[in-house]
Amino acid sequence: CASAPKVYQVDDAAKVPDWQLNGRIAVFTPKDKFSANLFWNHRPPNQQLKLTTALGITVMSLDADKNGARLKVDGKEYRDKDPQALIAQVTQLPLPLSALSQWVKGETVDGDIVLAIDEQNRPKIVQRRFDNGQLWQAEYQSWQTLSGATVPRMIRIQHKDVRIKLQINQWLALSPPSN
Amino acid sequence: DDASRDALQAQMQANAEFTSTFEQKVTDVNGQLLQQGKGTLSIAIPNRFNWHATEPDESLIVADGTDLWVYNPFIEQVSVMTLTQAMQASPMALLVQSDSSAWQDYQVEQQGQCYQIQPKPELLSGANPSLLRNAQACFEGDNLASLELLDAQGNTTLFSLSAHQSTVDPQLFVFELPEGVDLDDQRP
Repeated sequence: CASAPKVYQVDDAAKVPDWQLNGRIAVFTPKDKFSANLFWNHRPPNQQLKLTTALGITVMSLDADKNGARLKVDGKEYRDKDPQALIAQVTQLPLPLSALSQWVKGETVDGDIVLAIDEQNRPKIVQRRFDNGQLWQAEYQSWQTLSGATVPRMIRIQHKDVRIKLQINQWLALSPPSN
Repeated sequence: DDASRDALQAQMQANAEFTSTFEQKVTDVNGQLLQQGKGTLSIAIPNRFNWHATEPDESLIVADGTDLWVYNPFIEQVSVMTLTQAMQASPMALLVQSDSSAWQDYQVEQQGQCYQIQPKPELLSGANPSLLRNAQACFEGDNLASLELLDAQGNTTLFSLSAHQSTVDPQLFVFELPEGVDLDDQRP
């Protein structure tokens, strides 16, 4: 039977550490176009991320906890300490997981450069320089209310010639906001 | 066995043309809901179907009798392959095949109103192994009522079909390339 997680109504997604989302993700690189359905269960230090085809067949699944990350792709299993590095090594998909886990909530942090806000004072274009020096930009194209909180619906992310398109269809708060 | 395969083909032939609405639920091996959606499925035996997902977002697969077209509006791309190429990726492409040679790589077992369809071992190894482990097609009367897919990692996808109508617009099985999309032609 499908186990339904306990869900909270919250007002500020940024303050919610544990959440789960369903959506669609596309990654455009100069040599490749990739898209899949995205399931992401994020309960630090644990996270589970699954990419599935339209028919529900698993393309990639990542499980991470405090000891490290395990990635299953094409029937093979890979391990590494850091989930983001593991995905990049194995799939060549430039998925900035830690930044993404904030962008999916429309969360800005110290050091982010907010280039534009929309008429409701929500961030529209935000730039962030990663520890590795790369400058990434997230553009929030639309918003929605899910689990009581205002969260993005469509986000376009860019770094040089890599573009990521992320649409959030469902966002569930799995813990109350931590203040 | 062959008798089950012939029975399944006869069952599909009994309702050779229909349109239906589908609900889709994808759950992982722990029962977590990964994905859900809705749309319409139209079939015309042999070798034609139209699978149009409308929620949460649109995607369209059309088998026009020879080729299979996959339109993914999210990345503005259409991929096309022959129906035989498509069979591994899309069990639907198998279900609409009427000549039994297409079925030789699959093992079929009938259990009452349901048919278990499993890729034979040689499909599960090699260059690109089938990621599908099992497909179960169940009927209510002559109507295909559900199609359940199990993948290599234990994901279960259940398509529940309803509102069957036997009048089918043949245009559903003709694919027109939308404006401004990339065409990824995988045909040999």
